[in-house]
Amino acid sequence: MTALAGRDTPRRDSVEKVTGRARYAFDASLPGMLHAKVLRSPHAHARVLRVDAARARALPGVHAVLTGDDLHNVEPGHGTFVKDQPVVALDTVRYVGDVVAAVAATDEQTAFAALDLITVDYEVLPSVASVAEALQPDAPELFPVAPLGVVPGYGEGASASLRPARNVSYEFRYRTGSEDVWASCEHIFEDTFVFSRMYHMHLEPFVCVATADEDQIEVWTSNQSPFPLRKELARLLRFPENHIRVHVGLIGGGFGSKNGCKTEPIAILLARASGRPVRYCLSLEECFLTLSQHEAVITVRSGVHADGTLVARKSEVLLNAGAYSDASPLVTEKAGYRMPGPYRWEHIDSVCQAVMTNTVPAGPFRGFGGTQATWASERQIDLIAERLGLDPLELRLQNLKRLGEPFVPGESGIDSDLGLGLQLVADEIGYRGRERRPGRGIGIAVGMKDGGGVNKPAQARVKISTSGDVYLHCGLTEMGQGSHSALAQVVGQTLGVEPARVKYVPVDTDSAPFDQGTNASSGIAVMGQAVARAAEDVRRKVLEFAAEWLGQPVAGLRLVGWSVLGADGELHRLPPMIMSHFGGTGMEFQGDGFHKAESTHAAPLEAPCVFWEVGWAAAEVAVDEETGRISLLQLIVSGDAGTAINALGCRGQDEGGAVMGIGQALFEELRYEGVHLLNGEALDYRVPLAEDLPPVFRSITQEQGHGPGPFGAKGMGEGGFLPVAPAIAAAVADAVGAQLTQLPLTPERVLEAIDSRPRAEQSSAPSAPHATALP
Amino acid sequence: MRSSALGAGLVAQTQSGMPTFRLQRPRTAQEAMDAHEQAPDAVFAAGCTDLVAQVREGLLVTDLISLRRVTDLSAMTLTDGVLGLGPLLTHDQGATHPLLRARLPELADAWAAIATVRVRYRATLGGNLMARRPRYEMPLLLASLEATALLCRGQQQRRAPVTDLWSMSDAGPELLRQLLVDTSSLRWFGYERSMRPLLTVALTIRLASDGLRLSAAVGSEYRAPFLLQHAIDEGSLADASTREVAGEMASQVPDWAGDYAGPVGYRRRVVATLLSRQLAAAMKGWRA
Amino acid sequence: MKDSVDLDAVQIRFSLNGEWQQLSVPTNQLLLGLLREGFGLTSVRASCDRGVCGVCTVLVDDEPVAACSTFAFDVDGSRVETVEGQTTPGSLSPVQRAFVECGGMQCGFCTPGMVMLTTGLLRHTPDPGPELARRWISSSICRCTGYQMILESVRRAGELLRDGESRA
Repeated sequence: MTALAGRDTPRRDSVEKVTGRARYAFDASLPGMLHAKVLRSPHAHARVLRVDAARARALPGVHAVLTGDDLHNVEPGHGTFVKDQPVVALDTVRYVGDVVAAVAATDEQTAFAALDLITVDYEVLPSVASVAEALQPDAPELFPVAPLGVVPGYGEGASASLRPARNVSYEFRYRTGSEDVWASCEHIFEDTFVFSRMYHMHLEPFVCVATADEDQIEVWTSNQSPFPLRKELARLLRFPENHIRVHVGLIGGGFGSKNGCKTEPIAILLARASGRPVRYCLSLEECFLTLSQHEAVITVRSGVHADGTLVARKSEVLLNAGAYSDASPLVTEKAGYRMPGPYRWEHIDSVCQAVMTNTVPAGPFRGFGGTQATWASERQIDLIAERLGLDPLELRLQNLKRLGEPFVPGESGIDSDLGLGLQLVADEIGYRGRERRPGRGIGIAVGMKDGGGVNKPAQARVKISTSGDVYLHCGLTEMGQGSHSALAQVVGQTLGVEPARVKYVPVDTDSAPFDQGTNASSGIAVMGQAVARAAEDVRRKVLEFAAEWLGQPVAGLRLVGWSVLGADGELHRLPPMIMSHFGGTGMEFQGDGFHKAESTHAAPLEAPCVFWEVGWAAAEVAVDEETGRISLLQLIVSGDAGTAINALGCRGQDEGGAVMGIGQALFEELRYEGVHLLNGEALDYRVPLAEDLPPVFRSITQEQGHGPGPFGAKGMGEGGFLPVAPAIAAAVADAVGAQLTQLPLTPERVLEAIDSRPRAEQSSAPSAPHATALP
Repeated sequence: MRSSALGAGLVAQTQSGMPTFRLQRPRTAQEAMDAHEQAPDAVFAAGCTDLVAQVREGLLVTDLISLRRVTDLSAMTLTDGVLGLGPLLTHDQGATHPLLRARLPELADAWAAIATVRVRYRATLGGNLMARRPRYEMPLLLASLEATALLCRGQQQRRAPVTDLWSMSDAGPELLRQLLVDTSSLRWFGYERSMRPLLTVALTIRLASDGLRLSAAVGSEYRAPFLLQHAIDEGSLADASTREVAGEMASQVPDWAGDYAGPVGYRRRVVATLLSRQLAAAMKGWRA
Repeated sequence: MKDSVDLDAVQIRFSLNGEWQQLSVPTNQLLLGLLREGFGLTSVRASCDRGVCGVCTVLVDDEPVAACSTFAFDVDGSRVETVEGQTTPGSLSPVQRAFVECGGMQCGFCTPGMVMLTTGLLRHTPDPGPELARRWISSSICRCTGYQMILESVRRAGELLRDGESRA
């Protein structure tokens, strides 16, 4: 098909970004604005007996102070399904960094001075730092009183429950197929894998500016999901939803963290108490103490036949949810659901639990459970291959789902040719017939997650003015993924205008159509469909108007630029037509679009998945067998865009995700020693830099064309991240015969794995079988 | 972050929230010492790259002596084989200095490898040493080279080995006037930082009256650095025994060197490996 | 000549995007706040606020500097440049154009700092080559792009400048 308008052009917001004119919540400012600062718990777990902020309130320049004593008309907690996180601590602090008090003052200096005047009496309680500690029968209970919690409806095979055990806030289960098949398995392997915990490290911090009085609340914030935020604020603050207005401009990176309430409740309550606008911006040190990725312990039991056919998989996933649930129930659901990976199984039995510990809360992080599941699933496939004497690539090709095959019964079919993509990266890196060199190896991996959100409605409105200027209203936020550009291109393509002619109206919950949030790589595949329909709707209305005006049948008319081409071949300009009919001020045409996957109880998550997001990776490493140091030599990643709306955008998403994967694989992690975070500081938290790129780094954007989005598009953004750590671990195994099961792959762990190799392999010759030739 | 004044909790202090301070901007080392005499608790500041981090960690600045206008603390000299390094040399100035490139190019190379470009142009040798941060690298390089520091408190001066700068002194702020590295007995210097920030090793080999003296400074991100030393006959540093020597030195790695990123057993092993590679490289250079 | 002890405030004179400024600043004034709030140059933002991430990178006497970790009194007598000074109405600098063309950004938060870092690099070494470019770009964090498209932007910027474009 012909390329979309704008496919190979720069993203539409590039000029504002390179000139610095781009506006983020970080830049929001209002006259008389106060600055909010907070006091944070030094204890991992303690009762708060008394907070005395009298001297802080009296300090000149302090206009408001907020403690647990000031929350009479506020709900006790917020969160996605489990509402356990208070605005400020009520009677308990649950992690080092938990907010105990907040002040708003005319300047930062005064705010800090006010915090120094607050006293707090704590009664320290025993704490738990790890999943294992939290699940001990005598572990202290983080939530002796059950917080408000809901469990959504699930479909065939899926179920969930609240508080199934002490310190477990949510549990998800999925089962399909018969248990009897275990008896038929020729081999059963059980392994445990450990997944590390990173911080999102979006460069724009959590930040908002809020104004609030007894009638209205207005907030300018860096938040990916403005409408869910509005809804939760309304419930939390017991305030009419239509009196709360949320503005979101450009977002300086989110990666999942900027969902739900973060800085907003404190800023709003301080604004209301002071009668002034309040800015609450977290320092990076505070951001580390706000949200993290979930670390996980995953036990996988897989039953297989000797020829490598996969039969049954039973998984137990324990996520470290930290001190408050945030959106952990959603991640729990997905981590459990994604354990089968892209493979065919006769029987699947998955359980995933969100375990509460006295550490920073964990929440949505790019990959959303799929990264944890992919790590365990892909690593075990490699272990199975080694044990059965099979090639890891062939074992995968043998068991990958076929194009169109449902993920599980009741689910949508896989919309990428998984084997094709895997062969692509394997060929690109030269996997088959590769030269065997001591200390060097190549590994491949594939990760897949359901994309597009669950049961997610999307709405959009497109307007066109008399002169043909176009407006796109939808609630999708732009945090770098290029959604605004891509959606404008969809509108442009549908209407036959240059994408630059389409204005993406800034997101304002008072006027944007409702949307459930920018997540799940859903932008183009879900919202894109609503946007396409809105554009089609307005185009139809324009042509119907023209048909009536021209006295011609609408079927014979076409929209060309901002003119109508009649069946007679004559081009009729629209502006004079519109002015003649509507008079001096003209008119605006308006079209609406809606999209949602059909709900059905047959699908485990109550609606079939919109599309399948896949990431394939191939990596080559050299391993120093005396120090355990891994040198990444090559990394090839690939995703399937279906159809690329914007080529630079697709490439950027896969490369960005891949580099995040390098960090997760090799060195990036939040280091907890017990309940204390060691490296929550810029100098100490190592993230990938340009120097960490391997000498050969390539991303290949496939356009297999099966996507459900506009023009066959699929979502991207998380796929590139999923397979990188497993591919690197597989390369290490290929290089030195050492199988690592824990992230990150530190030199010490590599050396330990080398030492633990069976005696026969303790030379530098790799033990993995040579690649077999293509049949 | 820092603790709140009354111990009630943690505060995310920022430098934009620090109070004003009395500022002095001396133009010579003598003026700086005079200023310090008048304000003994004054903080010295050069590039300020580490200072803001210290403010965020709780440093309260009431007096600041900015050294950026001081002209006589950024010279590099060579006198009777002793290299004198001005503490106000930026990393870029020091690493590219023609005197250093001629006399001790291996130190110039090591110095050229550290820090980001922004920091290289702004931050100084003195700042890097006086910050006392385990992960900063100049303290390691200079300790391995057995450098001496000249320090002043007011008008009083003292000499101290650079290793003394590994931990904060009780004496209060001091002005670093000069670093001295005796190059006359120096036979080899190298810095192995491929495993940074986990572990780095700077190795110096000097001629001693009875053979060779080896001095390795080992750094990591969380623990203070430490020095490993060894003395041998020149003749016995043949290929076969580089592993033995490295092993002996590695056995000196103290138990407290183990941390989150690497237990002490692992560290000893890797130090032995890295040192033996450095010694092998030194031996190659020797014969050539 | 000895400077007298300054209490709380200090007079500074510096060139900002080509225009000389003279003003009194409190001793604790940081360059970041001065540029952002004092002069409305909102391209200069903070992220780590501690000199590590590079988001606040500006040029001082042609050298890249972290504005968050620089006191205003330390730019006395210097030339300070931000991204606003690189743009004339309707026209972008070659470096800016290269980043647009090569897609060297996603969320854009690191972009002004990257643009100034690149501008400094190409003044320092007009033909840096991939190794030096990588060394310089490793001074700044980007969480979105994975750096490859930024490095391509740097290479393209060098080409545009060497092809004799007028602004740099």
